[in-house]
Amino acid sequence: MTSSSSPSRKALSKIACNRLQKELAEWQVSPPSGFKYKVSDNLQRWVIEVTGAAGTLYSGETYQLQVDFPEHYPMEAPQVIFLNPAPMHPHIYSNGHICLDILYDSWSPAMTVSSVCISILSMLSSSPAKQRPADNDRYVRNCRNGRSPKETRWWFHDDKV
Amino acid sequence: MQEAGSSGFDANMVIILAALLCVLICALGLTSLIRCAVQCASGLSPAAATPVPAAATAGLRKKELRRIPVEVYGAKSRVPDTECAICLGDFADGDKVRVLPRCHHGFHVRCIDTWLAAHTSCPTCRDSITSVEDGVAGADATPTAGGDQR
Repeated sequence: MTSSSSPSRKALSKIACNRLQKELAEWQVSPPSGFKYKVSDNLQRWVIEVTGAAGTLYSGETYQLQVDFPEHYPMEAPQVIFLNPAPMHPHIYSNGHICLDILYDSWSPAMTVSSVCISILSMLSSSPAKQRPADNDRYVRNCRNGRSPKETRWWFHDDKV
Repeated sequence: MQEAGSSGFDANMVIILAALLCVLICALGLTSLIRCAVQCASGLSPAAATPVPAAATAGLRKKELRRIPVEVYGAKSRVPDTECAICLGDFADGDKVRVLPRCHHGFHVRCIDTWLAAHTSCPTCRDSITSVEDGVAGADATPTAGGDQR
């Protein structure tokens, strides 16, 4: 499973550490609705429980997001993947990788874990059908040896979901 | 006798040193050649697994960066924000805040300069920064601006 293999990571920089502590404090005051932070003492890897919004295909279902922060967060995007089992969605691969531009090319340091979570929930909520991406098998095969989704050259072709 | 010996020794020394110098030059040339080849290879096949941030080369130059005004935060400053969206820290009196000319979003100089070294968009609103001033080239501004990329 891709999720268990951690990319060769360097420890968080002091700036990244400070910023994450602020984000975590803010999260504890007002967590985004539908999300639950699973308490751990590892600031560099957050596991977050997502509950599908009512009235959507994923209503009541829970999934787990794993967020890994790079040394130079927030200058670089965090790596966000779904832990097994990943929700069935046209932009979510069975290995948990998520095709969402803000996680890669369109990342900005003004985004937070909270805003990323909201974008992911919005992506889930607007899903027209519970299905895998058309190229799921090929993509997952290519990622076998625990490749990070940040190393994928994503092609963001669908702005409706 | 003594002198002849030492001069022979000197000649040998010179030859050895020259040979070492040649080897050094060859090694340097070879490493630069290899580095060049590696760079070419990664440039030709960006699909390779090496994570090279696409926008890393498209930042502002130092000269362009210096033209963006810096304010000192305080009661009289005209900084509209109260916190830096990059480090999430509140601005304190005396903090140096760079205010982007078009969208007026302000950030700590240290925070925004790191971002703009590799990007040309405002972290908050994604507004392009390069096209603000006439002297600043806007040619390489588009790749990082705009959220909906194809």
